[in-house]
Amino acid sequence: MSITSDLLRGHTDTIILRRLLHQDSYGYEINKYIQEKTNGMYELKEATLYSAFRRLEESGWISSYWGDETTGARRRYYTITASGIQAYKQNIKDWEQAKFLIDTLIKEDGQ
Amino acid sequence: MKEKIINHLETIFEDAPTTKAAHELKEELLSNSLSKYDDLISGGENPEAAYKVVISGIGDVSSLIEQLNNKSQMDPKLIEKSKMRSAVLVSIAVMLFILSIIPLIVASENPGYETLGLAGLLLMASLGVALLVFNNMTKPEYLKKEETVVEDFKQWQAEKTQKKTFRAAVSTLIWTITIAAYFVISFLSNFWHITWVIFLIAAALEAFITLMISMRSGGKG
Repeated sequence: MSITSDLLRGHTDTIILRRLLHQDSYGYEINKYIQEKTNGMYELKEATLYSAFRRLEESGWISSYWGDETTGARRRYYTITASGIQAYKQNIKDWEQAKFLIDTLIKEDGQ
Repeated sequence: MKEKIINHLETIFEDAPTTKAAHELKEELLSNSLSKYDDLISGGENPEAAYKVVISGIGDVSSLIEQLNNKSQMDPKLIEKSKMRSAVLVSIAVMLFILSIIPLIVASENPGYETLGLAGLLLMASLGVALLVFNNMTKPEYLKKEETVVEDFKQWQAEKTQKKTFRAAVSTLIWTITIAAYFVISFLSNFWHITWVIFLIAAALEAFITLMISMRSGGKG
């Protein structure tokens, strides 16, 4: 499992971008989505999630705005930018290539 | 129980810098934690257990807070580059000012071309001024190290004094050039009856630049 989560952590940015591609969202909702999608097998640590947000924002791939919740604390929503969509597509391409190479290298023939 | 979550976050952020970024991170964490808590409660969890889940989820955000602490706002390479650019622009402007006398000298040797010489001088001088203005307007502002209130105030002050000194510098520049040009042109051309027009041009130019400066700061405010 530790290898799996290491591998997954390397794709945190892409996972977040993918969710935002679909709709604007906020931290907890994104994490809940990840949990539901993986049947509870995977969940991001808050620190991982928020540092990913900061990183993505600095790269200009996402931007944020505050919601206007009338009760309780304000929510910070994130939205994907045009360059974020480009980055997402590139990441998917890179992943496909990596997957192919790793399969070629580690799987026995005929398996 | 929600109070306890809020208190927990307050404790975590006790040592955080008092910056806007830190405050926003706290608010973001809080709203997300409360949503999670509400979700757990409506899922049938008892308050105590839900609280524990939420708190453990928040976990160690000290690394995040640390990130907020030593975030360098500007790449040193970029600073270097903009300094370089600024130096080049100013040098070209000064060169234009010095060389702007050449058209006049050339014109004075060739009777009939005085107006052309004057036009050349004015053109080069105004190009120089334009370069200086452009350089100052596109220069990166006082680089913020931390987005604290104190820093904001410092930046505001720096902007204000920068604007003042800039305006004074432009004014001095314009009038020095004007007076020099007035005498040079007048002595060379002997058109004393008309050369005073240059002062009108200078006044108009200064008014225009002042307007541009105030328009720029107005757009920002």
